[in-house]
Amino acid sequence: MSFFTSQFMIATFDGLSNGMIYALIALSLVLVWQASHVLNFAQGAMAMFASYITITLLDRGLGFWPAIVIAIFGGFVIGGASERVLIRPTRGKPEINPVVVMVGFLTAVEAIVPMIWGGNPRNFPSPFSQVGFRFGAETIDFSPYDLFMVVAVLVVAGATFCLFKFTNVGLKLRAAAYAPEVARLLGVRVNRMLTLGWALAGAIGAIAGILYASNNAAGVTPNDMDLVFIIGFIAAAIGGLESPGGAIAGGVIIGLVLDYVTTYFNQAVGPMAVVAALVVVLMVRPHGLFSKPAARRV
Amino acid sequence: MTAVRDPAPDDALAVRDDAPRRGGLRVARQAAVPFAWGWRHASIRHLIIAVASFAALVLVTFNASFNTNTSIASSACYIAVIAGLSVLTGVSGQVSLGNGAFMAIGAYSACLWLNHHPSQPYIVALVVATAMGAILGVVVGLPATRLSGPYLAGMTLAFMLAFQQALSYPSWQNVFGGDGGVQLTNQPNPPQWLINHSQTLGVDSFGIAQGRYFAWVAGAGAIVVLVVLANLMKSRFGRQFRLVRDDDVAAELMGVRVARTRVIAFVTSAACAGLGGGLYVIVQGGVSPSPFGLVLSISLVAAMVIGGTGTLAGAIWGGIVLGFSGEWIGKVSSWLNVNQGSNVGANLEALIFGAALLVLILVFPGGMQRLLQLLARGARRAVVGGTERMRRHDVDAPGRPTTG
Repeated sequence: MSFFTSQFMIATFDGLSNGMIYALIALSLVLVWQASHVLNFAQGAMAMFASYITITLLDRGLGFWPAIVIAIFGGFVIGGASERVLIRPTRGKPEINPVVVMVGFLTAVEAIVPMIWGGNPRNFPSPFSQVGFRFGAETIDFSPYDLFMVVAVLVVAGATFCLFKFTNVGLKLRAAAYAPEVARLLGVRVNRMLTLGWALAGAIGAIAGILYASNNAAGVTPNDMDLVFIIGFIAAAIGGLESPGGAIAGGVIIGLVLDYVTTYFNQAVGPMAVVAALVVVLMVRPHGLFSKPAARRV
Repeated sequence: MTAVRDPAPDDALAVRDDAPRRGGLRVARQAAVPFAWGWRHASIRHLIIAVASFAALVLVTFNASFNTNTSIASSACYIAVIAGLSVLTGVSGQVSLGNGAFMAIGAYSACLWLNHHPSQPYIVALVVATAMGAILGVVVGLPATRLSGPYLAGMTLAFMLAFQQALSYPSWQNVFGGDGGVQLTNQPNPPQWLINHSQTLGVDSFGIAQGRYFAWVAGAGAIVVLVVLANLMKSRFGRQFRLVRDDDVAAELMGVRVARTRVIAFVTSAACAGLGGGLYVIVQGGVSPSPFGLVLSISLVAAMVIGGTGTLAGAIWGGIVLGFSGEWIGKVSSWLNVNQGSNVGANLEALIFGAALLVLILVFPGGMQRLLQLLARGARRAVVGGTERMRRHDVDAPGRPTTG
């Protein structure tokens, strides 16, 4: 047994691949937060919905890649539609209202999914082998599928970064989030940009849901994403809700912390370790690790 | 602009203090000077309202079925928790998603206290539950003062999750009972006269008497919480809460210690949740970790918003909605007559709950209390009529916002 097959490395690889899913959920929460300063409680349920759409498409005989492309597009549409129908009417109302609306949406989606697909675990295929890479005689706990997850998340994060940094649409998105009034005066269709932000978050959430589903050998159930959502939210808070890069980092940090703790202590300590990590980070930096310190005019 | 942030400017029990006096009311008050004197003093007025509501509650329980009384009792537990949450969220501007955990510690400590001290009256256990909620509130509230908005929500949410895990932690099974929880070995019995009185009705007099008695106990607890909070809102602390919410820099400049005020608000809400949990365990006769999860915490927030954030009357509506939702939704879903065994039937109640929540918030963004205020204002205008009267209303009440 070498270093690469040690308990520490197994936990590291596991934590890394789980952390990728938390990172994507955190990224989608950050996008929604940037667009309209709302915590999207239904993000997990929307992601789960997308993976169930994939299951149906696969049952109908569609190939894996076309199916997930359609499901991601479905996530895009659901995200945008929920902004138009559910969030826009709550603008200008108390800040907590959109949160409660999304809680209602979450409850409804988690009732509709088992109505359509049943509450039993559903199998979800994996596009790549889940057997670890082999180095000579040793098999490490890092499979082609894990590699695919890491690459997929890095591609999504990179694409998001490039979209915001280098494209016209990205500039409009940032302007609409940063200074809606000024952006509107300069000709940015602010409402459209907010819808687009939610739609992008929906698509990224759908990718997270699909990655989670195919990572789970035991099959997926309608409420699986609840815990993933909470951990993703905590990851976003650790990274800073203003910072997409922080969301990715926060997801990886939380994934690693959870896996180390469950490996070296036990399963039940996991959530407590997550809280401890969150409290330590927020005590040092109240707006997350990667957010810029905001000056406030008095 | 304040109307946007704060649809209900003051808590509804207290807002009458500064309300314009109507002509007819003025005559009636002159006839009853001692009563009027009391009415003008907020704490005495709150006491009068409390006694009247408890009398009304007793009357209602004598005319209600066992199931309704059970729902009243659980509504009362929720009212205590939501009132505390409403003070925290609506008045001091902090959002906590962890009040389910404070309710859990109240429930566990009341249950364990009663099991270990069977001879003591259960009110001691309720005091212990409140104190334990407050202590845990200090522990969580101290780090929470630095946080705001989503970060505070995230921390309280994570704390709630960890607390639920801790309750079912295998090594502490001999104390907290693991996933199975703890049973209350000596659930308080209704007084003998009530059992005798209920006997005239015939069937299972003990059960009926118990249903009534628990509705009274929980109702009394909720009323105590509401009175204390209504008085607190009228006090220096209440004004400091509002000031810190509206502008913490201005508050600091005026000598208000912002962090301490935030901790006090947090501890208040945690203590109310602790008492609510204590009442819950007396009514339910036992406690386990599973009801105190994410669903409870977000249902409490949702009920608060449905009732009307920041108002104590709104907390009452929210508690009633939450306590009765099971009964009402069950009626709707049985009326729809879907096969309970099918996938649709098994999830219908959750769908109705989610859809109702969504529609209620979209249609009545200020909650039920705001809706009632608007209806009352409309009715008053319709009855009084005439523009002259309306103009006087505006002159009478310079501080009250006239638009929603």
